[in-house]
Amino acid sequence: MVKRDWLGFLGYLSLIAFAVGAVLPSIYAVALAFTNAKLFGELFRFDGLSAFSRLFSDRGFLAAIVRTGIFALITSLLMTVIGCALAFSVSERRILKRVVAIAVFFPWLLSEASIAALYRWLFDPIGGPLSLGGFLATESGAFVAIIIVQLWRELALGFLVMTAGIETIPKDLVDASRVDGLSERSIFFRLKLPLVSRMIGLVFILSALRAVGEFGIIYLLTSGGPANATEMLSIYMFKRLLYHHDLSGAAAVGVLIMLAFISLGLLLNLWGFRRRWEKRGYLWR
Amino acid sequence: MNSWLNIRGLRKNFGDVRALDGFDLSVDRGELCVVVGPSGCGKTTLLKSIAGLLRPDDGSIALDGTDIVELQPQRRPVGMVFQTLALYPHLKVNEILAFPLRAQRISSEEQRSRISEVAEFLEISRLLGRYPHELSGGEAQRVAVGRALVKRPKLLLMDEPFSSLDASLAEELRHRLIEWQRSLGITILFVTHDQAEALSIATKLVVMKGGRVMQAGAPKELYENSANLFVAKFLGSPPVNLFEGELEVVNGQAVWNCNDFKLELPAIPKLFGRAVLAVRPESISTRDEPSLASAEIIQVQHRGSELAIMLKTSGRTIWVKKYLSREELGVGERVFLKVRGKGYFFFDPETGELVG
Repeated sequence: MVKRDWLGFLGYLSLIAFAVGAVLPSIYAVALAFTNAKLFGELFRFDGLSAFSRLFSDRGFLAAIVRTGIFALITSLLMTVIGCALAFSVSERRILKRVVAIAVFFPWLLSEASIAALYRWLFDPIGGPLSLGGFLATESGAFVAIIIVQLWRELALGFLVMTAGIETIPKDLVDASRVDGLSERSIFFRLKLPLVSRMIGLVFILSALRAVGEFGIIYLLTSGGPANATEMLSIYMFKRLLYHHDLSGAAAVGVLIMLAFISLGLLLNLWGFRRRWEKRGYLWR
Repeated sequence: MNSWLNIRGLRKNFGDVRALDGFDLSVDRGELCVVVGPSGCGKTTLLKSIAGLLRPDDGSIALDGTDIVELQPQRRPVGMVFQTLALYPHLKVNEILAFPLRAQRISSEEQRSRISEVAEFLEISRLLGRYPHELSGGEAQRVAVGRALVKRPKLLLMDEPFSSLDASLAEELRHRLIEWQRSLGITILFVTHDQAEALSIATKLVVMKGGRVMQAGAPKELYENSANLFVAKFLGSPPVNLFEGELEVVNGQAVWNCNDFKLELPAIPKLFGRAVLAVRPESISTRDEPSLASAEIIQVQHRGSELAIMLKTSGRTIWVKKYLSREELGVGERVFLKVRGKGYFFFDPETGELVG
């Protein structure tokens, strides 16, 4: 009983820490978006939705939204396909699975700065091993480069989630489908893929979240250039703060990103609710 | 060799474990053959080898005159009911039943008529629009049987299909299985670890141990004429009574001498040296008139019309089975024991083989 009381106390403590460390600053950040706060000095006051109207009248902001959307969509799609393909292709080979798991985790051991340094060298338009004749110095080239780096860095997410999903497919179901006479191709498309569909959704939405939130690697690689071609919302927000000292505007961008996150999260939940069989067991033992 | 299913010398090793070690079996058309054995004896390996889900290391499997060992599971005329039932969770019952037919590229009208035929037969027509997680245990069981039957297999394999159900439901499904099997005339290979279930449904019973057949035949034959100690011990509940000892003949009366315990036998067996005497519980009678053996009643279990009585004497447990009668048997009472009838055998204590 004493033990339980201590655990309860720890629980409350972590709740307080969460409130102080995470919730309060978020509320403060949201509140800032409805003021006229600047980065330096001056007192600020409530200013309604003016920060938002300032944002939406800026073409650069609208372009950043579209750009971030495209970036997130393409990365998530590719992540889902590559993660799925990689996980399925090694799912029955134990040793290869380990090797791939280590390989995809490797980028997580590197700091953002060293990744940026590595790719700056690889993609260097002049003499870089992957310069591709200067393609990557063009606007679309830089965009492609960012997507490649993001995929490389986050592949562990797609691979791991899909591998975990594949491992939950009961062997009996696959055996049963063979006895039912399904070809290996049908087993993949009609049995395995539907059974991991929730994991596919999870990978898609998680990588979208990661892509929308990504800042460091993009900033270090391109600083949003060339010609704003890689200026995502996060970078736009940072620049708004740095160059315009527009604290309330940056906070408003933050609020919009937060709303995007919340709606992606809700989407993920809705996706889950459709598959009730995953909540209740469906194998009789 | 005109059997419907003919298995010869089947072998399968998993590393050092011999799951199947020269397994032979022949099953006639229309039989309900039950393979029974303790867990880990290779039963599931046997079924998976027949279904083509495992590749045996050696041996042949012929079904209706064709060797099927080299065939892919998809091409074998075999249906299977899995222990976990293995119903596809993302499909409705009618889609599950359609899967094997779609794989055979059967036209959709034909599919519909065959599904409704099977559904009517198994009384699952009203379940066709449901998902597996909306079925009860017994309903799911019948759907799994339907999925195996809808492809009209030459052989139906069942892997402990009733082990997850409660006793009364399992009992009901066993009756139904026997009815289905008779009316369809289908050949079934049924695997279980439950000897009572095996004895009650089999037309042919196979006792298996360590990847080999210990004995095969009619259930009555195996129970009454067990070929070895393992089969004698494995079949029957309460278990067979074992007494290792030697034969003595005193004044023309056969007496089984186990040093601390002596038991009179109804006839003089032809036997030399030490052996294990095995007596079925129903072949020991308890009586008031004195005999050489006596024991104390420890438990009296009522099993419907029968009593299973556990007795103890000098550290030895003896089971006696008898019909319920007016005679009162109280715990703690001491009774005399005698072997009666023919339900006793002798086995070699070393090899476990029948010696008399």
